[in-house]
Amino acid sequence: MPRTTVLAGLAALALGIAPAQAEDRYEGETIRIVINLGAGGSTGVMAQLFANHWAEHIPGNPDFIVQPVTGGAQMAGIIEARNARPDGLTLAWVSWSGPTRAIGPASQNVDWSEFEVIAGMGVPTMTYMRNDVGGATVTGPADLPGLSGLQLGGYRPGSYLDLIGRMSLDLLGVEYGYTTGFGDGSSIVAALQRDEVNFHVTPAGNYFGGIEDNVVNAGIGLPLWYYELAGPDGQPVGLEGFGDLPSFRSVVEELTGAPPSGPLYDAIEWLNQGMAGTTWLIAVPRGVDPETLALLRESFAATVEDPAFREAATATAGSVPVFTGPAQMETMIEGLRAVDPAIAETVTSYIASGTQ
Amino acid sequence: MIDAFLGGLGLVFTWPTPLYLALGVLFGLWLGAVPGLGGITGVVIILPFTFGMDTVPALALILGVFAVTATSDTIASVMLGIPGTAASQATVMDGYPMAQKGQAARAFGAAFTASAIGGVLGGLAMAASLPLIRPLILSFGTPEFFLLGALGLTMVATVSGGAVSKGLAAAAAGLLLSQVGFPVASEEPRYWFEIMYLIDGFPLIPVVLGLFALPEMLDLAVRNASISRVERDETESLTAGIRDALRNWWLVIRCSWIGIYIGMLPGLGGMIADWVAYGHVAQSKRAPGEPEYGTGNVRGVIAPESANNAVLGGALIPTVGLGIPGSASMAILLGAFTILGLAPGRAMLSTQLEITFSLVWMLIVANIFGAGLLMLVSRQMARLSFVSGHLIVPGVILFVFMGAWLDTPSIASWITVLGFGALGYLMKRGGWPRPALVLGFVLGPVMESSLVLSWQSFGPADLLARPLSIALAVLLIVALVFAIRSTLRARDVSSLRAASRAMGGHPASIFLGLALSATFLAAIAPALDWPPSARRFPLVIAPLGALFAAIALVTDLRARAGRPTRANPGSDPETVKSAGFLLAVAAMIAVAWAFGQPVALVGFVALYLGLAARYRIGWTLLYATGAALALYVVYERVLHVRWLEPALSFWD
Repeated sequence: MPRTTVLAGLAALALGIAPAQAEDRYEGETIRIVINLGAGGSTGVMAQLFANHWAEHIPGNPDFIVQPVTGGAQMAGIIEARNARPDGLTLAWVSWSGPTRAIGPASQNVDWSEFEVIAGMGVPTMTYMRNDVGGATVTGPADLPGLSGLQLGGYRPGSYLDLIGRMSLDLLGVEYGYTTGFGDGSSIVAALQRDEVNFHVTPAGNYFGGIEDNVVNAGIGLPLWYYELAGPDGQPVGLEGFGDLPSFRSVVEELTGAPPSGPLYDAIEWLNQGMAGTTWLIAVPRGVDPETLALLRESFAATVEDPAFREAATATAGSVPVFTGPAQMETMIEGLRAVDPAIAETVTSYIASGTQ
Repeated sequence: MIDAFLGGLGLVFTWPTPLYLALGVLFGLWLGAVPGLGGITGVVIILPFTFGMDTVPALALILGVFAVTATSDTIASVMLGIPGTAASQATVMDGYPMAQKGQAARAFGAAFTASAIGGVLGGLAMAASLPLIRPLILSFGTPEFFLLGALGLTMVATVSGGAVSKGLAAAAAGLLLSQVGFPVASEEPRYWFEIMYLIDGFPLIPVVLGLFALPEMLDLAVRNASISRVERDETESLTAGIRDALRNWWLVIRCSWIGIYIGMLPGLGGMIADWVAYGHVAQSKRAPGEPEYGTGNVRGVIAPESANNAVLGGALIPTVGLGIPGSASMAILLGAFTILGLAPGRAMLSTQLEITFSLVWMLIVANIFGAGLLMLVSRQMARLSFVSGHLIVPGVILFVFMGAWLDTPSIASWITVLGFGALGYLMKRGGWPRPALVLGFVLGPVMESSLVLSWQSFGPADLLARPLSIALAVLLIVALVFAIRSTLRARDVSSLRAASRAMGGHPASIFLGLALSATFLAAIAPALDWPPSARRFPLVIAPLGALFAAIALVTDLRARAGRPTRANPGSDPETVKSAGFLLAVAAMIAVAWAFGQPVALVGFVALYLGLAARYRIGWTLLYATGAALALYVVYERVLHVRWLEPALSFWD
């Protein structure tokens, strides 16, 4: 943004000058993106980053405001966007937690059919740990079995990152302790640096956005594996940045001699695809006119392919978020109405046992 | 290192960076001065403008905002008895009594000087600590956070004036209030009564605004007088305050260090630092003739103001050096760093070191510039303390309720302000210390989360092997002994205690004692069914709180029994007027729900001035028009507030 534009913008803000109206649907308009987490986290940063490029793909080049509406166990932002006027000027970019909400308490359930989906965006999940645990040096996943003193640092018992981490270690037969309640990733990283915990499951964006540099490159930790995400055609997606890092599936195969299967792995897959594959739901409240909805969907998809956005996203989060189109998202939402009882049972029992 | 340090200075003075720094400072000063706003609001607004800007000017704009909100938040704390931001709560303790004594200008002089020095020291500490960053921060673990929280709680006696049992009960009430919502390591929210607004707990800003702002505005409205209760005294000037701060240079340095250290520790921040600094000064020995703390002692302003400006320098240390944001504001800053192409952590300490040092210089320049600007206008601001309270009340009510709304946009926020306003009024009338409640509320989450996390990660043997834990435990015991001893010593000589005794047996105090005892007892039963990590804290707080509240109640009842019966037992006019004021605010909230906030707020302003204060129609309309303009320009155009959808509408 040129310097003069910024100064003019600030001056306009100060003077309260209204934007000019014009003929184009979005010309002179301001689109409000409601996020349900704080402005500084990965949700806010990615929404803001995307909005900067999205405007160029919408005729009329509207302005965007990213507005955090936090609270209510992330429900406040969802409710705010759902109740907004369906005029195409308020969008939701929300951390949706669809799978865990579907099997959680009624107060946290969301009827997603009250939204029209524009897209889903996801960030793969991965694990890393300290390289000195219980007096032993860890060089890779093969050192995990038999390790004593492994301590998983978690967000809260119902967080999918906690659940995936605990289920993965159980699937591998690794003994571990569990410290949860840190609430956010940076507190876990700090505890890991203080050696209070030594194993952490994190969105890859956070890993590439700072953990790699401050833990791994600082010589106190190593990455272990990532969790594969499947695209619409079933092929893995979102692999940028992982290089030679093994997937969790391959780690299980290597350590147990067989591909992963069974109810525990089904639960991991369900959580991974539904939570990491779709970290954010981008939607408008139901009732937006079809032309506007189509415009938003098309421009969103075009922005995902925009090299400038991809470059900025890679620079900021280490990789481009995985894009899920509206049709696939609708199918996923439909699937949440009938969760496999075995998976639901596994997940709820882990939440219950993790609540101390 | 020296080259990078000087290189950073060069970057700050390369055009157009000074311009953006100045813009940021001006915006930050305004945000700090309006109760309920603050640096986070500002940076959320400014952030989109920084995309595409050059890195250093963008940082200057953002840091300019952050650096000075803790300087200008003093204005509301001193003039209105309302913390301008969460980081200036302790400043109210002595700042507002100074304004009531006609010494607002002196309080400003001391506060702005201390703020500037604190901010500069914070910046320098950041520069000096960069090479030592890792051991410095990592030595402080989860158990130490708990002990630091407990150490903070020992200040309850200090902020309780003479009413220690009431202070302890109020602190327990604050701790219990902090238990509302999701516990640290459990999925079932506590004490939320299936009200979505409470699922994450009570938000701090509406609680603090309610507790402090509404009772003070009510007081002004009912007394129909100015903030200052004495005639203007030009000797109590700005320069006298500056001299106070410079004379207390050692206190400024000590409290700045407290701010830097607390800022450096993730999860604490300015609101803890200013209380700790206040506790530090209030526990120190007073010179002969020096006013008691809580009655307008200038050292009680200097201490928290030095600390809360130094916090930012401290908070930037882990953010920049380790990529660990210690607070919500630092998380936003970290996000901004990332978007601007910086890599907090090792890169900012090596390849981007010049930019890192430019942050230090920005802090220094912004703090000096911000304090200087405020000093230029402080004489005019101080004069407001001699203006009729009726002219202040409606404007402040507007900003208070909009501040609460901006923090948590729900009509429940307004109800929270009203509810805590009523509680604050009762506490004020009954001699219950409101700061003790806030202290418990602020420290509760820090103490509980660190206790739960330590419980899972450490055994008793681990704790005994941590030298810092042992040192803090010893300090805690010393602080407890000191607090008990000074309370007992002050027993018969303190004027605060005498004032407290005078209020003993007040119906408001008896009501609070009864209500709190019942609430604490009622809080025990549901906690019994919760998982251990969720019930541990409430099951300690609630019985203790019930005990303290019962002691306060018995003391009040005895005081009342020993008092002669009033000749005319009818309701006193002040109580009737106060109830009328609170009802008017309740009506305003109902109108906001029905017809929208602008109608309610502008209507309140007009009706207050026209009917309650009996101003002429012209003045009333002029003021109401100003209020409407403020709502439009500040909240609609600048802050892009999303208004409550009215339940009823004129045009549907």
